[in-house]
Amino acid sequence: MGRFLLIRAAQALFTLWVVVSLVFLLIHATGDPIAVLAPEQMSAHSRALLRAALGLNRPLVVQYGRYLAGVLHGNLGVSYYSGQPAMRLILERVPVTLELVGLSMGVAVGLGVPFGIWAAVRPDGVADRVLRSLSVLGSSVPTFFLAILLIYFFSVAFNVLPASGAGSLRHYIMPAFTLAFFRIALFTRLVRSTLLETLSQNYVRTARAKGVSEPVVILKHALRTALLPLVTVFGLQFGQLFAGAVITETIFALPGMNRMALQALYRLDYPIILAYVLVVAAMFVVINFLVDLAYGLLDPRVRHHG
Amino acid sequence: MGRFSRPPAVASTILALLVLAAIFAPLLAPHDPQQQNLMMRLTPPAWIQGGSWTYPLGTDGLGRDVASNMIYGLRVSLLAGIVSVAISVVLGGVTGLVAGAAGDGWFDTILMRLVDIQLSIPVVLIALAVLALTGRGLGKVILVIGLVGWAQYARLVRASVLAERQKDYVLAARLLGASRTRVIFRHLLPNVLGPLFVQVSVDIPRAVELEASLSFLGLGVAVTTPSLGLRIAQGYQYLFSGAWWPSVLPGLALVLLVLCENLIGDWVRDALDPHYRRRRRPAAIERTTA
Amino acid sequence: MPSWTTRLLGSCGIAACLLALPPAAHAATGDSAQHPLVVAFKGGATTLDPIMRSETTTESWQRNIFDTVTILSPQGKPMPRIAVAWKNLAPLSWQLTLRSGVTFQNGMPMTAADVGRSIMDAANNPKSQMREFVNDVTGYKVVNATTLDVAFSRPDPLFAIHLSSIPVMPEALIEKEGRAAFAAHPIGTGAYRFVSWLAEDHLDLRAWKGYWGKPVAFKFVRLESIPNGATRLAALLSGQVEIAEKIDPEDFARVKNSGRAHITSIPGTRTMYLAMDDWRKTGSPGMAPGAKNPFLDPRVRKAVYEAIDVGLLRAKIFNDAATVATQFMPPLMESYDPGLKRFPYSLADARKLLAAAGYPHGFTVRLDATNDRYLEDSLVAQALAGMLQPVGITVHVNAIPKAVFFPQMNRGDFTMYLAGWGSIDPLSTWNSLFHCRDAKHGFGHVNREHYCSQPADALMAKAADSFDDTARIKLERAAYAIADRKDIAYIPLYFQDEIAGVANGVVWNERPDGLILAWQMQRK
Repeated sequence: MGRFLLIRAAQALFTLWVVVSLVFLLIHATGDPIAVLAPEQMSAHSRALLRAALGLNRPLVVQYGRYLAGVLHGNLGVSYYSGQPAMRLILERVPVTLELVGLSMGVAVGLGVPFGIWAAVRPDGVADRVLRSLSVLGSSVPTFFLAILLIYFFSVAFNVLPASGAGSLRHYIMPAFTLAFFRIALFTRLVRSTLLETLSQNYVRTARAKGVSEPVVILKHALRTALLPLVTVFGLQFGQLFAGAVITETIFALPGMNRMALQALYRLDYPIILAYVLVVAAMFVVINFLVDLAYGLLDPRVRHHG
Repeated sequence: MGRFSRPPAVASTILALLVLAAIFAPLLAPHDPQQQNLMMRLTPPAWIQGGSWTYPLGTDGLGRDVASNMIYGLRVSLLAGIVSVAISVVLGGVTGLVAGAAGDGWFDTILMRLVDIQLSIPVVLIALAVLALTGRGLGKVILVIGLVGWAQYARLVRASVLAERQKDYVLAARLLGASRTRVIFRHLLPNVLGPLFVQVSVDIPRAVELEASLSFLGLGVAVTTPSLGLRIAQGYQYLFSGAWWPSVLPGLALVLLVLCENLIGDWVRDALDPHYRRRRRPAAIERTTA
Repeated sequence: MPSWTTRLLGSCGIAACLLALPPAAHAATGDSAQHPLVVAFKGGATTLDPIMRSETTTESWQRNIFDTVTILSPQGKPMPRIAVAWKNLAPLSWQLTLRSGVTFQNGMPMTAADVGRSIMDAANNPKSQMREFVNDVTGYKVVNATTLDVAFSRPDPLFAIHLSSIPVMPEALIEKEGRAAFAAHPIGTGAYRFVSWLAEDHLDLRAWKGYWGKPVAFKFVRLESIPNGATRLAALLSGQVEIAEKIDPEDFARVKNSGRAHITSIPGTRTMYLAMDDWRKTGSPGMAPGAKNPFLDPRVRKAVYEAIDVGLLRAKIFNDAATVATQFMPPLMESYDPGLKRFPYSLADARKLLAAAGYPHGFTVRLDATNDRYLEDSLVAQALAGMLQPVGITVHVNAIPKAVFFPQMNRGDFTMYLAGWGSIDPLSTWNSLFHCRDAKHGFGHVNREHYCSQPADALMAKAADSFDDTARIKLERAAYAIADRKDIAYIPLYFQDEIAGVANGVVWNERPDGLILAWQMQRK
């Protein structure tokens, strides 16, 4: 096990290194940050000075080496636009993203689990059919279009919710629901299918035969088995949203880290792009590792070599 | 679960109609989708006060016909969905087949790390880089979507090949002296097709959505190309002054298309692979642009 | 513990967010920290380092904390701020008389040396984006506590205007703390002191007791970013904010009819123009391979000019909230000639010109534009394509993000493109954009079209040395007439208007430079 962990840690570091290197190359391929950063009146001489001040005049290999050396010392550089440390700027915006993702996952689970139970109680009943159709719809409406529809109804037509900003809880209602919509469907499907599976198992039948009431059977016995896949999918979805809520944060103008990364991308603020990608890559690596680990521990068929 | 259900009739019919509309767009569209008429901008749909049947679904901010743009937009969406998935299948399929045939453990490790790497790089960044290097255009978007989707197929094909390899008929074929290539193409490939088809049916609507999302962010097709996502983005700003049709109508067309594809995808999955949902271990974390 | 750590911990529970309800306390607007005067901007400042970013919103936020040496009047004339008077001693020397009794917000008195060092910092700091304003300054000499002599390598007749972009900073403190730390907690001589902020999101300010100027009307001010126009409007109409900038022209009536707010607008200083390749004989990007470059012929440029109905653009895309450009330089500039008119819109004449130039059936060209930089940029580009179609010019619009556009533009990869120019003054605009390219002397560095008129350059060279306003303006107008009328170096389209919605209890008029300054606001 110890060796396995060590190997995975080495692999993780390798992955991060490749990601940073690839992104480093990619963003340098996108063009010249000075062309976007410098005001249009700036003279060629001033541009050259600015380029030198940001270290962008050096050969790519040198820039790359310096960046890696910086990363190893925990220094991810400063934003071209604010002069502030890139990592700090990203972390400053993590809370908004966490709030958004936390709320939407709360909504998704809070609605998805009861819906799933409801659908599983009477498979192919009316509730089941309606929920199944809704869940297909849930995975068919693109995020940005759902956001636009919500804004049209709640901000334009009825004017009851603010269309952008993060000042209060009311600001989070529409973005959280936008992100939750597909995931309500996801959790409904998940709970339904795992419940249906466990409800046909022997121990559940035994409990029923013993005269245990149906709600108790479902909540106490069946749902408990459904908990593991639920927790796993919850974790995966949380990670996915944390690093994927770009469109939602942008449309609703939430000052979250994904929107900041998109803005940095549009203005070629390299240090911020790289810091963001590092944060996201580290998160993906950790989550994927945890999923592997969980399945390794739980499923005896999967054996780790060595 | 295992029962072989009928295909969803309504969804199939609608999808067929949408595909036909896309194919015969030049015959169906009342106007050239790029034809502008600034004097007639933001004309509402015909059934609303101020609308006219010249522009049955109204016009957008440049006075372009919304209906024509939707019909041509379906074309762009379908093209993006099908071609990009085809690129993913070819890239991923070949990689997976070779890896499965080789059957070494190290390949899986590398593949998984590649997936990690791929997922850590925002699609938006890749799209921007491609845009910077080659310019904006439908072909480039399709390439980007195809490139980011290959890993799924590589893993899927490899896993299927590995599973089939152990089965008697393959062993028998190999004992009979069939070459490796022959085994792959005559025996393994047909058996891999099922799960592959399932994955394709799930991925096409996803690719359609991704094209729309990238175009919505201004990283997709050229501004004049009638992509549904781009038209939604361009119509969005008029939503607030009450002109909902330039954004909402293309959006509904997009939802209808994706919905039908999803319903059919569900059916394909149930029909071809009844155990798909239950047996599949949650794949490694996936990247979305949400 | 830094504030973001606290927030990070606090937000781990969603409970934190539930508690973040607006406080119920009520007081007159601007009298308490709970109830500040709120100004809603489209964007937000990226930095509070006052020389690091030359961009209107960033400068707006900063200039409530920092004073500039001079300030522009609504007519574009330099007015006293930290400098109360200025005098040209010799072609290469200006003398500034400074205000006395000015103090930095940390209690340190401002000295003449602080002003001199600030100018030198703006001129020499490699990350400074204010360099162009004081490029020719070589040094300064403190004459006495309120007198500063500034020396130049080249004459700068417009120095007082340029000083309106130079902030006064506590240079000793910056040296001690480092720029990043200083920008995180900036100290200036302005009317407001920094309280807290989140970059590009909001900035909280509080009136500073030691301010040298007139006491401000609003003690507590919050500047915030609301990118979505409709939300900005809703916030104004519901009384959540007192001022909302860049109101969509389609919503003017709603503001006026609300009974709560009104609109203020003024032509701005940004020229939107169409540029055309003026040097490649063949092989211009985006044209058919081997095709010769039609724009070398001034008749073709004039045909494009006359085929564009800017009035229609203004009416239909900007709802009249833009000003049709009769010339390249905007009305605020001294070289602006009120007597000039556009070449009239005429498709017939345009067709004639094209036929005379050998293009009776037009040609095909790519039009490059941004889609995230200027107001309605991508829409305007598409409309232009539509307008050129009737004269036979087929235009393929390539509207791309600024991150992709500007590097290509700077490399000269475009044949025809839509761009904007934020003017500082007619002299530097000429030298950057119109002057024959001359890398050695730094002329024409953004003249990507290789436009070149030696007679006009000669006129401008004379103007640049002239401290006699009347003579200089005459020279400038003559030079721009050559470029605008005779050569059609660029096709000027329109000037964007500066627009804001203002609550009826507040007095604020938009400035042509687009800055929104809380200390200039009054109560009604």
